[in-house]
Amino acid sequence: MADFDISGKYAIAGIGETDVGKLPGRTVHALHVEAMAKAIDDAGIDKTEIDGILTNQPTNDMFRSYANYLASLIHVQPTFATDLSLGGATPVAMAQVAAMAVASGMCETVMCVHGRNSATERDEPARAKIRNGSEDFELPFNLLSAPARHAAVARRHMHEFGTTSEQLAAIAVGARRHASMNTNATMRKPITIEDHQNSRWIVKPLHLLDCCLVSDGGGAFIVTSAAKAKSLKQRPVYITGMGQHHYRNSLMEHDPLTTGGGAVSSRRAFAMAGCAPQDMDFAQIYDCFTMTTLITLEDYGYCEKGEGGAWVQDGRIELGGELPVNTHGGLLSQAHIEGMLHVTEAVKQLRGGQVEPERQVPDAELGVVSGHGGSFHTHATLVLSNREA
Amino acid sequence: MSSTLPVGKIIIDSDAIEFWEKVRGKNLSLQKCSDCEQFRYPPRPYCAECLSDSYEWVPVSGKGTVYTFVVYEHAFKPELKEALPYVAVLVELPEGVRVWSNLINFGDHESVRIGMPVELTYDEVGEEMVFRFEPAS
Repeated sequence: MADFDISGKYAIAGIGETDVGKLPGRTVHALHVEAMAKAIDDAGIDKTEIDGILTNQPTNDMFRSYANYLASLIHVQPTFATDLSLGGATPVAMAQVAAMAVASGMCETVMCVHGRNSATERDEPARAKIRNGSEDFELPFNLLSAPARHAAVARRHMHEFGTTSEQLAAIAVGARRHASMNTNATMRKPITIEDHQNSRWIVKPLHLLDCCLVSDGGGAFIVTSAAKAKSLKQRPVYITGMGQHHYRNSLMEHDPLTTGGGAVSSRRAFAMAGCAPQDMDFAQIYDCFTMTTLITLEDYGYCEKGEGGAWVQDGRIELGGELPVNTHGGLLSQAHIEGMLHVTEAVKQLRGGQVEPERQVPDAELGVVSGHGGSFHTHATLVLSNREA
Repeated sequence: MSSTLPVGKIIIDSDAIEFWEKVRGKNLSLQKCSDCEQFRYPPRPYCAECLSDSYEWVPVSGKGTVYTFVVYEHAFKPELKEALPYVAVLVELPEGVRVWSNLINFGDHESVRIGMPVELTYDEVGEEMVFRFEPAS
């Protein structure tokens, strides 16, 4: 039983088609851009009105987010984006998900696009590994690895705002403290600021202890209606706020370099939830690197841009502090399951009584979860509540 | 002039053929949109700003400034161990784009600074030709 009748409320307003057949010398990306340009022109809108994008993956390549790659090719920054993959059913599914996305309020104008160069793809290089999309202009210079890309952002943040490595250490120390109380965490031995500073350099200015773990593991969650959730055995945790903002797919085109999609994404999520960042009882922040946590907290409005270094000091982001961050130990000290366990940990905290007592945030009612893809390329925010509507 | 810093993988699809041909000819160039006159990088057939597919190649001035940089102390591939520490640099070009490259022919990597003026050089390592940057003289 639907919450509201979606039928007839959303419509297709523009279409684009390229030539077809054998189109040698054109990459699959060029074909997508041509189709998008034609659809924008057909609809008579400005390209900046596109705030949602849905696509499939190219047939001989693998992208972390092809939707964000395409958005970056036309310099738009959507507040809703995902790749869908249902084979030949995908374009139809794009129309369905687009309607749902607009219905949710997460976006208003969704570009749905697919192209292929299967007739000539033998002539194009196939790349085995999942990529952001800018690697062809990074790998020749041995710019490889997520630590390096995040280190580049960290260096710029330190230059613009005076942020120090010692300030980043507080984030690592806090995550490790929480992991030490978590029986399902990988790194449980507490560390000090000195331990962080003495840990070896990976890519300057990041130390080993600034970097996330590499892990095996899995996590899952089930979403249903509030009514059904109430009829089941666990205390429901309600999704009250949702936001996304996808910044770009490449640091070469990030401007400024010291932020990502978190500001817009969180603003939209908090607005939908009808609350402020300061109302949160905890924050499970995607922490692939300490600098990621710092920049996300700034972008989420916990402090001004550039003040993150000072803000995370003195236990403020630890259990017992103003905003416990990553009560499970995060990617830095629990495990890297791509942020899935940030969601499940948030749920446990809001249910109450499902984590080790010393790790329970007392009387928790509201929590925020952040997701970060690539190197500040994609971003998503979820606000959760255990309060009944 | 050849440095000892290895060249990583160069993958060239149809959108990048002209670009790398110019690099091989020691003539690094950027696409300039014929409609809105913006330079763009990485190379691509469509202007991301105005979606035009008309462009011309313009050789770069050869000057740049360090926008950010990183110093590799860990080898992410075994063949890079010998090259440590090496520097990957994001250079801001006066044309208005930023390009990833390496900084070479500098003395001490502690001397590398954001805002440092750099100039373009070409580095032939084995069979491959790449563009790199060195401190401006």
